[in-house]
Amino acid sequence: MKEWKVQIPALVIVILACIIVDINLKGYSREVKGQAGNTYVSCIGEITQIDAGRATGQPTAWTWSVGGQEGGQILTIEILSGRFKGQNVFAANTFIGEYSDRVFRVGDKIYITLEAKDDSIVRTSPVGLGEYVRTSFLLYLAAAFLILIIIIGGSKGIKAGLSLIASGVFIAGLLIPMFLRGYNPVLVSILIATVNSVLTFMLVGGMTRKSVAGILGTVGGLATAAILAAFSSYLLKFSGLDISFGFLNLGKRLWLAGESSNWDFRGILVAGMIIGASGAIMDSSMAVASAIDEVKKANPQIGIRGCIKAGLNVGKDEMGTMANTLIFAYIGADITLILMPMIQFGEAGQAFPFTRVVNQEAASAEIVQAMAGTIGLIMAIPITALFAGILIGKSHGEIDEADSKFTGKPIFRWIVPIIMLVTAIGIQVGYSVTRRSAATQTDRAEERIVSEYVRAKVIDRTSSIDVPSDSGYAKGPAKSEILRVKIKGGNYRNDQTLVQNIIDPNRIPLNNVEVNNGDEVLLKVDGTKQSLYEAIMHNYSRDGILLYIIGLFIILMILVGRFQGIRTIIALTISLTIILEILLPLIMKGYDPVLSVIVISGFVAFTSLIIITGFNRKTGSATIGIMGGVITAGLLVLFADQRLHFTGISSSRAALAVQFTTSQNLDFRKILMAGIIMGLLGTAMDAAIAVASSVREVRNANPDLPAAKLVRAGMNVGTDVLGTMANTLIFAYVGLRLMLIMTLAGTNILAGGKLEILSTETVAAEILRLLAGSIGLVLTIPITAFAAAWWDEIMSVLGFGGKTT
Amino acid sequence: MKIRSITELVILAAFLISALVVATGFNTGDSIESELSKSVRGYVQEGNRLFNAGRVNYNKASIQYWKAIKLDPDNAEAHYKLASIYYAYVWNHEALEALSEVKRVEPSYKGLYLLLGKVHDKMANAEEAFAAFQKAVEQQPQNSEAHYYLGTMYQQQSMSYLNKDEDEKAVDVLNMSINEYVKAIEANSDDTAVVKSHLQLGRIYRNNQPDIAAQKLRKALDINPQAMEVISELRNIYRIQAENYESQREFLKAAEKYREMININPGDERNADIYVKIGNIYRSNELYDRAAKVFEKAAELDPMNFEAFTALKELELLKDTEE
Repeated sequence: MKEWKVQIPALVIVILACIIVDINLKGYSREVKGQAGNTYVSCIGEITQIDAGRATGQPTAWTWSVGGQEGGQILTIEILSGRFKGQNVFAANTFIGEYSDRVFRVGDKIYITLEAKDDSIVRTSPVGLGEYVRTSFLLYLAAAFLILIIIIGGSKGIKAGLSLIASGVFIAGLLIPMFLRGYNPVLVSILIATVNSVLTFMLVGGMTRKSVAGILGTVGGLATAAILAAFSSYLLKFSGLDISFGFLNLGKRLWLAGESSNWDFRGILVAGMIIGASGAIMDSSMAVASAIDEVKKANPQIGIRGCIKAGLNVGKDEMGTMANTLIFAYIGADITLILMPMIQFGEAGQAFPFTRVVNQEAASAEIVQAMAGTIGLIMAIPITALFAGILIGKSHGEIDEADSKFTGKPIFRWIVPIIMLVTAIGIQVGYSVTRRSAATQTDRAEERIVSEYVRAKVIDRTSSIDVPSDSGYAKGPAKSEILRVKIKGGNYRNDQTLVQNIIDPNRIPLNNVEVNNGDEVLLKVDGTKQSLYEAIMHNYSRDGILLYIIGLFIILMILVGRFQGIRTIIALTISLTIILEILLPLIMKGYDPVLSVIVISGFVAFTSLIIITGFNRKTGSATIGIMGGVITAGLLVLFADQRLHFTGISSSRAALAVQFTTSQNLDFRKILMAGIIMGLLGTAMDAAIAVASSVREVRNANPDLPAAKLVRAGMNVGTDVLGTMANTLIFAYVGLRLMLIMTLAGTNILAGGKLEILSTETVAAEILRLLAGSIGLVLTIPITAFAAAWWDEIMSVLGFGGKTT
Repeated sequence: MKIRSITELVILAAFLISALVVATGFNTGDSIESELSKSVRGYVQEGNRLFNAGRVNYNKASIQYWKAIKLDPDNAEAHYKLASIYYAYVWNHEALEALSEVKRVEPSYKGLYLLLGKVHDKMANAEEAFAAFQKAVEQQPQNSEAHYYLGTMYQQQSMSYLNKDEDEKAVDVLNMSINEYVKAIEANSDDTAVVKSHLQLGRIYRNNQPDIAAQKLRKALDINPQAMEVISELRNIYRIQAENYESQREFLKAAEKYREMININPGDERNADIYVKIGNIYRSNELYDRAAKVFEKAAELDPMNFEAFTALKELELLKDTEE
């Protein structure tokens, strides 16, 4: 059947569905009964007129100014939905001189809340100003994404779209309800991820040996990720509650709320880690199982060991780019957290030094999430290769590939174990060095240590005594104990000190540090250079264990990926160094974050690909494709920024930074945008290299093939990976924001109707992150295919004559 | 299996084991007992040396006392000093716990009840604090601090009676309070407690007998001329007296009180406004030369004092007109 015969109906369905949903969204109205027979009506309004002035009788509020407009705004709003549609109301938008102030413009559409009695608006009652209406824009963006994958991917694109919708249904219809019903989150997440992988493999490849091997590999990778995530969460004493929603401390609200009293917060955190990794793990298993199947078809004589080796070879290539996927997705999702150590807070200076940030639960959990997921996908490769080798290769004799024996000098054979050993020793040394380090701030005369974050080991402690709780909740008295600790680094290295440690059952567990003798903790100390004055318990010391988890990731990467693994680690190290040492300082100096991320992304992609695959036309064309995708995503988020009125305050940390920073150059709105773009980089690299590689292989097989056919070949491969790649991104972000999704689905903690909550900046930013990233990913594929097919022509135009391989 | 593969697996296993060792805190290294090399006396003496060197060394001192207690859980001195440090750190519950150990080991330990009272006082346990200070006075009759704190307890009780309109009881208890402050001054064992006792007496007499109050506060300043609370209280008394004279139109007497106010601390920048007040009194009494001098002093102390500046200008104009 011709492609257009499926494409056109699919496009019509998407457009019609979009229009119908939009009509519904625009008719939004929600009523809540109030006192004395009054009703509170939430609906949509459009600002038709703005008067600046001092008219609403709130004198203190008018002493501040925002955007050069002193005082506030008197808004005339036309009601667009609900039973008062067409009427005008007036509202005061008062500026209080804080980051939460909003300056409205004529034409802005916002959610408003009115008080009504009988059939009329109570005019004396103030009109509540809610969120900007962001849902329509996001809906059209989602439609644009589906339209793009249908146009670019054809029937495969439709399948990819259906697979994405199925994933969404799985998450919303099965995963979240099971969590809310109190089932063990870790087991549920493994089960759901497994079922999802079974369905995906069956949908794509049918009930074949390849699918079974892929499923088993996925399950193996998921199990690895799950064990690592659960064990790390236990060791690092995660509470699962270090989460915020805008400037709301969501963790605390959830902990206090009755609706979430049966939630296993740590379990949900671990479940998020598993779900976040499942897309990437499935992707790598799919690639390895498919490759072994293809090798078997090409050479039916190949045996089990040959198949396994072929699978491992493909897996090593896959690993190189896949390792970036989760890491960049998570870096992009929390770019403010990474910026925090560089931000100045007036007299407090760098109030969030790296030592403090990295030991906080939020940062530690994200590192574990990225590492556990990536280790899961690394382990999925040999597991898949093993099962695929056994299942696919067993019916024939053992014929190994001729090139399977390494023929280099003996010393090179030992490079992998040597580098593993060097890594293991390096981690031990790194552990010792970091224990001795400290984040110190002195006064101007450098005589007094104003604050120093140091690690200390608990040597001894008193038995705890009951003390009154500071909080007003009745879960029993707090327990206080005095610890004798030995400071491991900084100005007071090897000194001992006493520190009070209060465990209060009435406060959020995130703020309690429960320790035993021998445990390591993070203290905040101050004093003179000679004498420690006071030590305050700050947090668990988590960075030591994190260092070992990173070490495990590197060693496994090298063990499984061999030379390709070493190259991947080098590429990843260089990429992270570029981000930390070039990109973030540029942003801090006031360079446009979006532009900086776009330029640096190209640089990172090019450098990484050169290291992983060498310098060739494949690298060049993939870089062009990645840049195309990244620039598209960049333009898209900049356009979205105009429509969605973001402030950049998508987390409590960002709110804190916006409110108190003295770093003048920071534009948090654009930093949020930059993070959205950066999240795409890993998947874009993966997709681009897959397309560019296939074009090169096809060209090598038939050098006379015209460019148009090369493009088609590249597009074929690209659309194959499109579905799984977009799934990878979706699962990564869902895993990262699992608690937020559960809060939306299962509680009434966030005020307003579901649509209004979807319109909040935090939720809208996450949806934009997903859609802009996916659209950038979709466009990476054709751009890479075109660049790869017309590489020589492009090089000639640029003045680089001659052919590259 | 090849040697290389075995080596790789061994490296991985060794790495995992070292990670587990770190993760589970097995590498405690420092044995609590092995580090206790000194005798109990040695630790206590070293602790006392550091403790007496001041607050900045409390941390080091506390470790010495802790070690002493590890070796000898019945060492009352170590427990007491540790309690003193906890009190300074505002770890009040822990201080109480340490003091209960002192009580267990040596109920008559010198200073026990005084510190116990202070801790309870800080925790706003009025009854327990009162009982402890009473015992402290019995235990150390010549201790100014004990008398001072007991005096403050009586003073609080007096306020409480006043609030309940039990005026007679309030007066009785206030007299007991005065008695304790006087004893604190007579015992003269601790300058701080003596100064504070004078201050409290000054406060008690402030409203009804301001001259006696001023006298008490002057005595406190003789001991510690920098006591800010005393200075502030004394200035306040003179200010009220001066304002009273002003309201009775006895301006020159008022000026004298303002002068006394200035003399407490002549370099104080706030004196500029007082000089202006004196200047205004002299000006209204047509003592223009004296007025000009004090306005000049006001301007010297505070060059931005607008009132002094305009008054001087006016006086110059007046002088020119007269000439």
